[in-house]
Amino acid sequence: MFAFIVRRLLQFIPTILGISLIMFLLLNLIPGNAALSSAGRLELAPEVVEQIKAELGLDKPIVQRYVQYITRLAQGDMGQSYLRRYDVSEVVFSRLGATLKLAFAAISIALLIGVPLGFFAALKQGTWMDMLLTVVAVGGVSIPQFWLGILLMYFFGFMLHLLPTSGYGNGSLANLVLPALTLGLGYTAMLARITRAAVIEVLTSDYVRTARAKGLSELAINVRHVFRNAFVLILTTAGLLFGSLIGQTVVVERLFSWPGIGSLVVEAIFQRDIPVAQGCLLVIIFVFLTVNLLVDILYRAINPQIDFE
Amino acid sequence: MMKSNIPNSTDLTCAIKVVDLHVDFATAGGVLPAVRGVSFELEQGETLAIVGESGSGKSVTALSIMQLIAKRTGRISSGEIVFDGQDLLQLDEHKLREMRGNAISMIFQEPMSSLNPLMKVGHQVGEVFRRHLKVDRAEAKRLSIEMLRKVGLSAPERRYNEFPHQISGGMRQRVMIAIALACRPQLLIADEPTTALDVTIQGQILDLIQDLKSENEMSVIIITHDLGVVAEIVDYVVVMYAGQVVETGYAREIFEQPRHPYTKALINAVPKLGLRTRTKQRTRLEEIVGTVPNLLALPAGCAFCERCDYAQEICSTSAPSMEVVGARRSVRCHFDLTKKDRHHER
Repeated sequence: MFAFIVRRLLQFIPTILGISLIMFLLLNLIPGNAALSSAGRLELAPEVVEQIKAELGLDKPIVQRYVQYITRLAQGDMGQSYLRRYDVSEVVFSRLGATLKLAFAAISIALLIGVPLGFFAALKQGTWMDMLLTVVAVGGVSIPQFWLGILLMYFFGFMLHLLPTSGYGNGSLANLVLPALTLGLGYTAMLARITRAAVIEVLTSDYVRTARAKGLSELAINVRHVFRNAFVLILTTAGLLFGSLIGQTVVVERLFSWPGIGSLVVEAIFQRDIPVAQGCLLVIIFVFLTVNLLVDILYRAINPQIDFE
Repeated sequence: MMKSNIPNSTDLTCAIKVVDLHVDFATAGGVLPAVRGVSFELEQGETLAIVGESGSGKSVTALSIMQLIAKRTGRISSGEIVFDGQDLLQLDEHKLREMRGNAISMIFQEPMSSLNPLMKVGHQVGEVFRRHLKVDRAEAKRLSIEMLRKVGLSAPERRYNEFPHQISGGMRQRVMIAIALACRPQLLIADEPTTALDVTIQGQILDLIQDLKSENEMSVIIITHDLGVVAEIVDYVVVMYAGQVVETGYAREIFEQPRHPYTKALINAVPKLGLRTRTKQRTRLEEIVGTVPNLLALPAGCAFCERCDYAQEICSTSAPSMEVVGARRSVRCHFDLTKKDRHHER
C-alpha cells in the first residue's frame, strides 16, 4: 500500500507539469494584460505601459517566460502578484483553508444526507416515498448553484434573519451553513440518485438472496451485505464527483464572498494577474488529484478484489 | 379447474408437502402465472428432483418453499406448504427467518455470484452459526473451519480467510454447501447446483451432497433441467411444464416407462455416451421442437399440445387433469403413453 501511494504521488509530477503548460499558455493568450488593467481607466501614455510591461517581464517571449516560471515553481516559488506586491504562494495558501473547509462541509452534507436518502429510497423502491425523493433529487440536481444560493440567502438571511448572507465571519459556523448547503445540495441529490441505483443493483444480487436464505435479519443483511457492496459502487462515481466539487467552489465562493481560492482566482483572471491565477489553479488541481488518490486508497481498502498492485 | 390427486400419506414420514401452490408475477404484460397448482410430497430422507425446462416454474417452486420470491413482483397467491406439521405460508417473517438456513437450506445455481465478494468465505459460513446457534465469534470460527473441512476444502484454516474471488467455482459451491448444511437442516433445496460447473466438478458436488445427506439424515430437493445429471442420485421425480406438474413417480419408473410425452422427450434429450461403430449408427440427439408457451397467453388445452408428437384434437381444446396411475405416480395427459391402444402416433 505504501508503494502504491508513493507511486501515485510521483505520477502527480508529470500531470502537474502537463497541466501547468496548458494553463500557462491559455492564461497568457487571453487578450489584455496586467499593465493595462492596473492602469484602469487612466489614459496612460504608451511609454508608461511599456515600462510597466518591462518591469513585470511581459516584454519577453512566452517560451522564456514559461521556462522561468517552471524553474521557479520547482523551487517552490510561485512568483509575485503583478498588481500587489505579495508572494503568490503566501496568499494562495492563506486562502486554501477556507476553500477546503467549504468543500469538506459540502462533501459531508452530501454524504450524510445523500447516501441515507438514496438507501432509504432503494429500500422503499416503487412507493410514493421513493417517487417523492426521486422528484426532489432530480430537482436538486437541476437547480443551478447561483440561483439556489440566492434563494437560500433570501429565505434564511433576508426573510428569517437566521443566518448571515455572506462573508467568512471569522470562520463561524453560521457563516459556513449557506455556502456549504449551496455547494452541497446538488451533490447530495446526485449522491442520493447514485446510492439508490447502487443499492437496487445490490438488492437483486445473488449474494443478497443467499443472505436471506441464511435467515439473517433485514438489518444484518442491509449492514453486512447490501451497504458495503453498494458503497463500492457509490465510491466509483462519487470519487469523480468530489473532484469536480473543488472546481465548483469558484461559483459559490464568488456568490457568498467566501475568502477562498475560488473567489481569488476569479478576481485574478479579471485583473489579468496571471501569477495569482496560475497559483490558484495549480493548488486546485493538486487538491483534485489528492481527493482522487484518497478515493482510490479507500476503494482498495474496502474492496478485496482490487489489491494495491 | 384441476384437482390434486396426490395420495395422502402419514405426516410422520413426510418431509415436505406442497399442495396446490400458485405463484403469480406482475409483469409489464400482465399477471404471469409462473406456478399453477403444483402439488407434490417428499418423504423423509428422500432425494427428489424437480425437472423441467427454463420457465417451467421449477425454480419459483423452490424459492416459494423458502419464501424468497422478490416481494415487489412475485406473490404466492394460494396453496399450502406443510413442513414439520405447519403451513410455512402462514408463518410470520420472524418464524421464517428462524427456519431459513436452519431447518431448511438452499444452494443456488451460480456459485460465482452467490457469495458476497467483500466478505471472507469463513465469515460467510460463520454468520449462519452466529445467527442460529447464537455462538460467539471464536466458536463460530471453529465450527466454520470444521464445516469447510467437511465439505472437502483443503487447508480450511487458510480458506477461512480467503475471499470468494480467490477460490475456484467448485470450491465456492462447496462453501455454499457448507453454509447451507451448517445447521444440519432437515431439508436441503439445491437449485441447479451443478449447472455452472465443469463436468468433472459436477459429479464431485453431487457426491458431496449425497454423502452429507446420509450423514445428516436430511431430505433433498434438486432442481434441474438435466435428467442425466441427477439420474443416479434421485429417488423420486416431479416433472414440470409451463408452471404445472405433468408427471410424478419414482425415478426408476419414470426413466424406464415415462407416461407423459414431455417426460419421454426430456429423457431422449439426454446425451448418451457411446462410440460410433460400423454396425451401430450414431444416434442423433433428440431435441424438443418448439418453445415453452407464453405464460401470459396460455392455450385453452394442454400446454404441451403444440410440441407434442402424440397430440390429438382433444388436446388443443381441453386441458388434461392430473390422474393417479399408481403408488405416488400420477400423470397429466389425455393419452397415457403406457396405454398404447389409446393413442396413435402422428
